[in-house]
Order: sequence, then structure tokens, then C-alpha cells
Amino acid sequence: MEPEAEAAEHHEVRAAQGGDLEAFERLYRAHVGRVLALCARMTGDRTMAEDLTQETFVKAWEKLASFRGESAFGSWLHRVAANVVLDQARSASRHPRKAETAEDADVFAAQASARDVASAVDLERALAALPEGARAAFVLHDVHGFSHEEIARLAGQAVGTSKAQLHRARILLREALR
Amino acid sequence: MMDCTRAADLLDEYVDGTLPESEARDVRDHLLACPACARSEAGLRALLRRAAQLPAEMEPSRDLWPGIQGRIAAEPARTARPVPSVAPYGWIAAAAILLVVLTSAVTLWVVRRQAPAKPPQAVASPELAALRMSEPDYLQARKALYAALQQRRGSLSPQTVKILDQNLAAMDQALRAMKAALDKDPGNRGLAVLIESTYRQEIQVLMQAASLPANA
Ligand SMILES: [Zn+2]
Repeated sequence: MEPEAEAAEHHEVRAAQGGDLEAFERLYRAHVGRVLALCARMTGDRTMAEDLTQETFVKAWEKLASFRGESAFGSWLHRVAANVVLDQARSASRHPRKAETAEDADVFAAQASARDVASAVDLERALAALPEGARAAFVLHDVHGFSHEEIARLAGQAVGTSKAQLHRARILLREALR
Repeated sequence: MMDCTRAADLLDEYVDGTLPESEARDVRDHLLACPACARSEAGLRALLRRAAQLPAEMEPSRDLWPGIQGRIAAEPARTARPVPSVAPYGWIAAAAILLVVLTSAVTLWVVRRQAPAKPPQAVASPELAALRMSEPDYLQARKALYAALQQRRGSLSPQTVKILDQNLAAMDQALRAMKAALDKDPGNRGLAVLIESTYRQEIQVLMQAASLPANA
């Protein structure tokens, strides 16, 4: 992010921390696309992802006071989102996931060349078919740039577990995409 | 020399660049000597390139904000946030301005309606589709806010309650008129946008009213 954009965002965050909901809405507009992408890839379910995106911003508003600006607001928000998705997964093993539809994959295709689109859709589909833990590790580490330490902390598991899940995801994906 | 099993175990961290240099050197040597493991490395790097090229953002199928706003508004006690910094009576001024805007918008629309510049479009607009998607969230937020406001009516001054009621009634009336008009003319984009922005403004006023200090 450009320094000016970062300063402007910092200003919005401070305003939102003071209770300014319109400032928070501007933050929402700036970040909703990335948060939704993270939720959609972690769950493999667009409808659920939109609910979890809403949950993420409600949680973010509640926890906003605890954001101290040590990291970029976007990174902080992504951690909140990952937490929301993992919490939901922990509490909802009783709700089996919906099957992936063709329309779901279509949405991923926005703004890329035809070949990139085909390849992206394949990868998105393969991702959606992964077991939950492996999918979470791959999406967080290889798509959204989380470290194993961050993933382990969020998921409440050992760093070794996160590495093992990522290893499994990478092998399964290469088999699926071969 | 390192065997294939060991090399495969270390390949992830080798490719991620998190392996200590001594081990990384051993893996590198193995990859140079073993075509099977080298193919595996190439496959992994290709997968990671594809992952990096995935679109960073996705477009929501509907506006998710009204639902978020409604939930934030409905739980003021639990979140215990500071009261939004609204100057005393600032919200009344805001509501009064809103009332004027709404009244003139409806008047303007009625006037235009009597002398249509172009025939109404039969096909529903994207603006209408967007409105239909977000409307349930607005209505839910509105309901929660009305309930919250109802609870603290007694703690507000009679004058405040009176002005608030007048404004809410006016907004309701305006919304009803605009919605009835939209039913007759679903292709009217301006009307769909106006309804959506009226919902947003109404929720804003309700939220401010619900968080007014006692005796305001
Ligand atoms: Zn080998």
C-alpha cells in the first residue's frame, strides 16, 4: 500500500475506533473483496462465505479497540476472518458442507484472461474439494501469505500440524490438477 | 547422499525457503541428481505460482453492509462502545434535513410522474435487483433498531420523542410511496437507488437515536 493510502486508512481506523460507523463502512468497502475471497476459499462455500464475511466485520467492529496498528489493518482483518472461519468449522462439524455449484466457480473468474480463468477455476474447484484442515492450511499459507506460526496460533494447533496439513494439501492438489 | 523419502519430506520447506542452508544444500544436490524428485519440485513450484495468481478479491453477490450495520446496531449493550460523537441535537438537525430531502424527492418524483419524459421501462434494472437483495437486511436492521428504540423511549425527552416520531413516520410514508411507485415502474433506476439510500439514512437516524444519552 502507498504511504498516503496507508495514512488515510490509519485515519479511518482511528475514526472507527472512536465510534464512527461511516468510517468503518469505508473500511468495509475497501476490504470486503479480500475478506470474502479468504472466507470463500477456506469454506469452499460462497453462501456460507458471505455470512462469515459479515460475521468477520461484526467481530472486527467489536474488537477494533484491540487493534494497535502494529500490523497493517488488512492483515489484522484477515486474522479476524481466519479466526471466524476456524471457529465456525470447529462448532459446525454437525452441518455438512453444501456441494459446490458451477456458479460458485464462475464468480472466481472475474477479470483475468481466458486461460488464467480456466486454470484459476480448476484450482478453486480442487481447493473446494480438499479436506478442511488441508484446505485451511493451503489457503492461509500459499494463497494469503500467513506463516505456519500464525496458522498454528489461530487454529489452536502445533506448528508441525500446520506443516503436515500444508504438505497434504499440496500433494492432493497436484494429484487433482494433473 | 540424501534419499528420495528424505528429499520429499524437506521439499516443502526447501521451496518455501525456510530450510537451514546446510539442509537446503543437500536437497539441492539431490534434485540435481534425481529426475523424479526434480519433477516433483517443478510441479510444486507450478502449483504455488497458480495459487499466487488467484484473484485476491471476490465480489459479493449482494451488499453485505446492511446486515453488518444492523447487527452492530442491535448489540450496543454487549459491545459497550462509546456513544457516537454526535453533537447534542445534531441528529435532530440531520433528521430534519433528511425529512426535507425526502419530501422534495417524493414531490419531484410525483411531478415527473405526471409528465413522463419517457415511457417506463418494463424490464427490472440492476439497481432494482440490488435493492431486492439487500432489502431483507435493511428490514431486519430496522426491526432490531425500532425494538431497541422502543425500550428507551421513556428515557428521552418528550420533545425528542415527538420530533423523532414525526421523522420516522415521514420516512415510512416516503418509503411506502416510493415502493408503490416502483411496483408500477420497476425499470425506474433512480427510484430503486433512492429507496436504498432512504433505507440507509433511516437506519443511520435510528442508530443515532438509539444511542442518544438519557434525557436528550
Ligand atoms: Zn529423488
